[in-house]
Formats: sequence, structure tokens, C-alpha cells
Amino acid sequence: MTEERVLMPDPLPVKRLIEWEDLDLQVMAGRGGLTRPIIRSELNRPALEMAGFFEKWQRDRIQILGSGEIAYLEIHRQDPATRQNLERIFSSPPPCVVITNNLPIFDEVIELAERYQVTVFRSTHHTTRFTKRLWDHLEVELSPYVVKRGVLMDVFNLGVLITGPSSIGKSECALELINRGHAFVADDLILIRGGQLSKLFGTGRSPIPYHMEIRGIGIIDISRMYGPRAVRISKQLDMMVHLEEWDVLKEYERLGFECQTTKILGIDLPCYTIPVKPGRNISTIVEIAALDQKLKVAGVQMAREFDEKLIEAMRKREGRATI
Amino acid sequence: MRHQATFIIQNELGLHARPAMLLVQSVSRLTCDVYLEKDGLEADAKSIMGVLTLAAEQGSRITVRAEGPDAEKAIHAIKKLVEEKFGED
Repeated sequence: MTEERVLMPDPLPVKRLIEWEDLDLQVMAGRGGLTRPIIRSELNRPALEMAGFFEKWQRDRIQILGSGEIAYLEIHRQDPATRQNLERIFSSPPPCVVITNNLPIFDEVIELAERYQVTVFRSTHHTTRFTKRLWDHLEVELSPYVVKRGVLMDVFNLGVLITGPSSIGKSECALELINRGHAFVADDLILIRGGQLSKLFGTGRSPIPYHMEIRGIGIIDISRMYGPRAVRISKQLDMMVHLEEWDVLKEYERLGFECQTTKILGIDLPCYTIPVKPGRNISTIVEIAALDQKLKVAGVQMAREFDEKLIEAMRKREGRATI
Repeated sequence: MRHQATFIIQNELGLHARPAMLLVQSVSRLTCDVYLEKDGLEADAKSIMGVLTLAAEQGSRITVRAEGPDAEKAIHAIKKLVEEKFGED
């Protein structure tokens, strides 16, 4: 396998925020700032900066004006010091400013937004809910990613990335899994992003999703052939199954005591290495690997349980032998 | 053996299905690994879906990286196809 190459996503233009309908954003001023780039997912509430404390000011964060900030402005917006601080915020400039809670937008803010071409939005949502939603979107769009070659499937609700050398039968294995009712995410180039809570998310990299090449047939559209139930646009990644040519000299997992993992974006992902030999039904083995993983997550260790029972049985026999 | 070269896609429709197939066929039997890179995204040049995923339009820059005994042949084969605009236009 080639070493991991972490890629950084392109900056997001501010106008993309409008497309996320769950944010419920309206442009209030500074339309000229809609093309500004957003490069960070972190947000800031500039209450301290409005009061003149700029020690920790980070201009590349989206600025959120909630009820605290707006209440402060309501009282102090005429003060020369506050005006100066507000001007310092806008002239930096931040990517954009959002007023939450449907709070009022003051003339001073409109004037600065226009002068420095910083878009000011307003949302009807409460600050906490709004920041959570916005951050969720930004985390997905702006987090570093890697691209892996393989097939991403949803097997028994687990995201399974099937990897292996070309022509080992990844696509054919995926096709058989689809035939058995599992869902297909993407074939070949899989974009994997790290997200919140140490989870990984995979999606296809192709501009036209759900296609696959089957040798001897050609390019097929899984969503057309099997319908919407058989496809997912993205999937949380739970495990990896690596297929390789059966190597007679290599020791494969025989007991299942150990849980092998592979690191993607610093996160450990359970990984099963499956040797492929003609006549071995790989899709069944992938299903079994997924079920094994499910049980392991639930704390069930079949190999250990078997061993414990065996030891117990031998102990009993030992006792009988001494009588 | 390691070889690398950069090409500009010249045919009007870009690297669509037919050119992608020709490209994959030109290297699939060679004894080497071949990768195509566009904008930081790298595809296996022996995989149709991989090459198609790059969606390399006319004018885009493609870097070919080949490693193995046939690496030089692979670069030449792709160079020829790109220069001949995959027999299109």
C-alpha cells in the first residue's frame, strides 16, 4: 500500500453557506464579500474583541453575533472605542459575520459590512443550535482528507472499505454483496475524511456516483440496476477488508484473538486481511468479517469464548481422571 | 525503474470513456505500476473507473508516474495517445 497522503480541501466560498438550508441564512449586508474564502471550521463570538481585547483575535474564523454581542452593541455602539473595535473586526477582515436569533442589525454594522465588503448574514436559529449546525457542515467540508483505492460498501450497516491490488476481484465482490442486499457507496477512488469524535467518513470521488466497471460487461450504474435502496452517497467507515493473493509463506489470522488495525488520518480502523484463492467466496467472507466486527464492538469475542469453554471442558476431564 | 512525465489533455472532450479505455489498455499489460495524477488526486492508470474519476477536461494537466521494468514504455504509450488526441477531434 502506498503511504498516506493527506490532502487539504479547497477553501469554501462564503456563498456556499446559503445553500445549506438548515442554517436558514439571509444576506443582510456586504454582498461583495460572498466570494471570500472560508478556510477554517472554527467559529468565534467576538464579545471580547468588541470590548477591546484582541490578544486572541483570529481573523480567519467566522464571527457569530449572538444575543450577548448584540445587547452589548445596543448599549455601546455609539461609543468611539466600541466603534473602533468593531471597525478593527471588520477591517481584518473575517470571512463573514452571522447574527443569530433574528436579532437586529444596526446601521453601524451595515456601514462597516459595506465598507469592508464583509457579508453579514442573519439566521432565525438560536446561537447554540446555529453554531452546531454550521460547525457540522464546515467540519465535513474543510477537514483534511485522504484518497484510498478500493470499494466502499455498507454491509449490515457497517461501512466497509474493500482494498487490494487491481484485478483481485474487488468490484466483483462488491457486486455480489449488492446482490445480497447490501448497499454500494463507491468504486475505485474513495475520499475519506476525519470528522468529529474520531470517526471517519467515506464517499466517492467521482463527479458521477454509483458506477462500477465489471470486466467483460463494462461500466454499469448500480443505482439504475438496483434502485435507490442499493446505494448510499456517503458512509461512516467502520472497518477495512484487504484482499490479497494467497501467499503460502504468510501466516494469516487463524484464531481471531488479535484485532488488526490500520491507521487512516491518525484513527485506528479494524482491518481484516483476507487471502484470495480461486473458489473462495470472498463476499461471504466480507459479510462474516462485518458480523465478527459487530460482535467485537458489542464485546463478544468468539475465539476467546471458545477457548474458555475448551479450557473449562479440559479441566472437568482432568478432575475426572484423578478420581 | 521510475519514470515520470506531465501532459496536457488536448482533445476537446477530455478524458472521457473511450480515451480512458484506450489509456488503460495501453498500459494494462505492462509490468509496472502506473498512476495518473490530476490536482493532487491520483488514480491507478490500469483502472477504468479510476481514470474516469479524474474527470480530466481539455487543457488539464496530468502527471504520469510509472514504476517497474516497463515504466518507460508506459510513459511513451500514454504520451503517444495524448499527442494523438486519442484519435479524436
